[in-house]
Amino acid sequence: MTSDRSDRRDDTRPDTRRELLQGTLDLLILKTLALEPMHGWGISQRIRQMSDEVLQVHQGSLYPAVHRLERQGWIRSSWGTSENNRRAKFYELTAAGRKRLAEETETWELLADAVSRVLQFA
Amino acid sequence: MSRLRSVWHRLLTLVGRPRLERDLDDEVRFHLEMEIEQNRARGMSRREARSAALRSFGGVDQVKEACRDERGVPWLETTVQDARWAVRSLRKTPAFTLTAIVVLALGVGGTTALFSVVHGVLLEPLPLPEPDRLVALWESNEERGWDRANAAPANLLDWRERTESFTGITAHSWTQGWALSGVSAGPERIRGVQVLGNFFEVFGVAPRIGPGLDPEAHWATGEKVVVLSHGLWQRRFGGDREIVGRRIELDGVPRTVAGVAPPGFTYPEEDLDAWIPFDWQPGFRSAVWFRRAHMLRPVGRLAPGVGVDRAREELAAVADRLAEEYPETNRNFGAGLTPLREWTTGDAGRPLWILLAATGLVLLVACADVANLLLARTTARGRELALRSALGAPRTRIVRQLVTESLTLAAFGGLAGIALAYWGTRVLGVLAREALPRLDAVSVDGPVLAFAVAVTAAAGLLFGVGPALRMARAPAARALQGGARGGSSRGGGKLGLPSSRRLLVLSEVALAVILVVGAGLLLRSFRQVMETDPGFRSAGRAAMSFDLPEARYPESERVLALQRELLERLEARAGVESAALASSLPLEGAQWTADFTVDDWPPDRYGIDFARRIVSPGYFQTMGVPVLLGRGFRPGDDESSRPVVVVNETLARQHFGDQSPVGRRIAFTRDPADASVWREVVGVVGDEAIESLTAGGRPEIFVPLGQELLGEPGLPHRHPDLVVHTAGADPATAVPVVRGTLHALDPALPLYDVRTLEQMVARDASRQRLLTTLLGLFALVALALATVGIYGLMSYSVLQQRREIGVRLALGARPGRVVGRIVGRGMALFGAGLALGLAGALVLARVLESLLFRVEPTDPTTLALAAALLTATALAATLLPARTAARIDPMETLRTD
Repeated sequence: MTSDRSDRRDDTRPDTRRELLQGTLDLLILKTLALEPMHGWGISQRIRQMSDEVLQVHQGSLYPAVHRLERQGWIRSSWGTSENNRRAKFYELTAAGRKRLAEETETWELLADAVSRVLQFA
Repeated sequence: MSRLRSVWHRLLTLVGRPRLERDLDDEVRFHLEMEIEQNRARGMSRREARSAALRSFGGVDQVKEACRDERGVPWLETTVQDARWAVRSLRKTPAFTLTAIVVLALGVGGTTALFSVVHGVLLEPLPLPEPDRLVALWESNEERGWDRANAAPANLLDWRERTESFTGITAHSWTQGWALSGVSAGPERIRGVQVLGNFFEVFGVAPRIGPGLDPEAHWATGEKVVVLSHGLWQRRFGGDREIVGRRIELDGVPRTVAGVAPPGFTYPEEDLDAWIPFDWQPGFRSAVWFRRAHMLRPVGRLAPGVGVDRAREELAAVADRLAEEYPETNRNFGAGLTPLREWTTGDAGRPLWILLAATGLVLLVACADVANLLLARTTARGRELALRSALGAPRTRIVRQLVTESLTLAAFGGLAGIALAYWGTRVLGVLAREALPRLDAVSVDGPVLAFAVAVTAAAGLLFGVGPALRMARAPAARALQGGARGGSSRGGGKLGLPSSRRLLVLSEVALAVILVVGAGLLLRSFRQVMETDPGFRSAGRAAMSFDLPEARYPESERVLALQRELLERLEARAGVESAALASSLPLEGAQWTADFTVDDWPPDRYGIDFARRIVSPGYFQTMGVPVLLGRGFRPGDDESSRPVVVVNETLARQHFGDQSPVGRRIAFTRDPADASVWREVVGVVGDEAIESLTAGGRPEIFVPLGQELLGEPGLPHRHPDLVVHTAGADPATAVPVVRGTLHALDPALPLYDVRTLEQMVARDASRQRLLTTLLGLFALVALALATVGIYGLMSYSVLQQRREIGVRLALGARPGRVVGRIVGRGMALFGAGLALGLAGALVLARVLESLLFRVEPTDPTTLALAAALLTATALAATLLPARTAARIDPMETLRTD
């Protein structure tokens, strides 16, 4: 999965690539964190899991996105210990982030609905 | 809310950079470790797991960079980065950098130095409480041509009673000198004024020590007091805390010290020593002379909420009513007011603003020069910038970088300029000492520094943005292709130069022309002033003043006797050609003016506003004033002989036309019926410049020493000025002689205000001299900068056209013709600038009109000379590079490239 930044050198994978918009990645990250706080590695693993391996978020996209979300105030970070006793940076949703997730989800659903209707138009 | 947090995060990032870096490292490391673990769990070896993890992660640094981008404050960081890069880049080209900094320093330094003067003299508020509520009041009389004249005491007192627009009105006399005695360490002459009792109150100034003056102290109470200035108190009394109540003597009159003024307050002069109250008898209030003697300088404080206009209207109305009530004294008299700030600066405002504008022009020339230099430099850097562009830097980024570089350069130039301004302000302070008021307030302080910073930033943007935009626009591909042809590629035009550079040089030339013309006009005007005949001979003559106070010389006979004795003794000395006394000297202002009538004139015809001077018989001879008709004074003309007068040329011309006034009789009153003393005119002398060299003649009547006692008011003149004409060249040699002679007559009379007549003439022209010097300096700087600009442009042009020149020479063209062509093109460009500049000078010269004396703003000689000067320098600047062109070896140029 690539994000929409043209000056990033991408590691092209042999498997199928789907283009995803930056906003969509943000949405996925927020959703993931809504379930429980976790570190960057955990987020990417969880997204893979939840999407049945379809969505594999590249680190080049994930970390900048996470940092941006933090700067925007939707999530916050704190240092903690991982499940295997390593020092890791954990992220969790803020109240504003929760609201944002709800809004973005609604927008996404409306959009997806509209797009599929157009595509199904005979 | 989130935006706030966003800004907060960005700011935090700036502050906590190292910590964030570590966090980022740790975060990435953690991810890699987890992936490595996962890989190992899948069965890879440790090395395989690690390399797989790194590969799948992608570029670690790029990810970090992306994260930093998301977090940091990009514009600030990149700007700092750009600035550092700019400094490195500037250090690599020291010649350019140094030249640019020097040029900028000249521009910024000059502007800042002059602004510090403008700020201190014109803009800075007076160091008084609520200074903008203070106004100077004055009387005017259209008939006499009086404007902003002193007020008569009776009028002032009526203003106080009849107006409501002021919380207080006070006044002071002209500055006087008193002999201070009764103190240890000998007599000294101090300067002071007489004031109304409420003087300090109106100014809002409380005495540092002591009660100060009673508000009605100007009415004589028998007790005589004095308030000392802080400076005098420290200097002569050692800051004695017990000074209040002490008795000192001023001009032999004992006075009690009533207080000390706070430090810094010395109104109305910059080095005043004392204030004493007027000594008016109650009977004065209704006396006619009390309403006629215009001897006060009033100052008022506006009441809260009252504007200047309203107060002015009320004052004018009161003056009108007084004119009705007292037609004999107040007919045609009006009253007005001026804010005190404006009043203290006088007419120094206009020339200063003109000078500031001139420095602005110099700054523009400097910016044009630097812009030109930058354009030349960025053309050479074309390849480097093209590479950056090809690598993906957006145009705005490149422009921003170039602008940052310009601003960095400007910053260095600005710093150098500020240093130059410090020095320049000190020099200006010395040069302008007699020409400008309030020089003590001139310094490079906060507002001036802020101005310097603003000017520097503006200059940086001015010369930076243009070249930056140009550079970013240049087609990258061609620049990358190479050779030194980068410059001639785009719009080569004439001389193989882009039109922007030619335009810059054109404007430089035009601006330099304007400044040179301005300086030339002032120079001619100054020469006119200096060549004006002051009406007397100034070489070999010195002047000194002394006082004969009433306390020591109560009888008029003794006053006259001492003066005559002094003259007699002086003239007997070898080395003294002649000596004379006068009640006032030329170029120092008229002290006593009055009206006069002639014996056969009708009652409604009279001469107004002549200057009366009392002079000793040898005056005209000593001063070298020619006697045009009749005779001067003889020793026999004194208080016991027939009353006589001598008039000057202006008075004779104005009131007697072609007829000779000799033999006619004059009285110092308007109506012949009131005349008590008729004085016969015995001669006409040439005019002396009374007010200033440029003001022209003024009607004068001279009274011989002693005859001032005849008629009204019949008082001897107690503040004579002495003039000594020495036999040798240096008049200063007379001073110790006079001192000794005076001391022998009376040791308690101090001699003061020693000056030579040549110094007096120079002092009168001091402001003109200052203006001319400064504008001349600015014009020279602008000329130098413009010449450098032309030279730089021509050198570059020759460089750009090397191939073409080489080809021509190879084809057989004579070197002379080649040079001629280049010079011709260069001078054509210069000519366009010259024409533009002359046109501009014609338009702008009107601004100088008020400063010029006997010179028209469009004076053709000046214009022609300026054009010639500039053409000569431009020719030199063009010729030099052209000659190197002629020496180009055609084989060499054809081979390279």
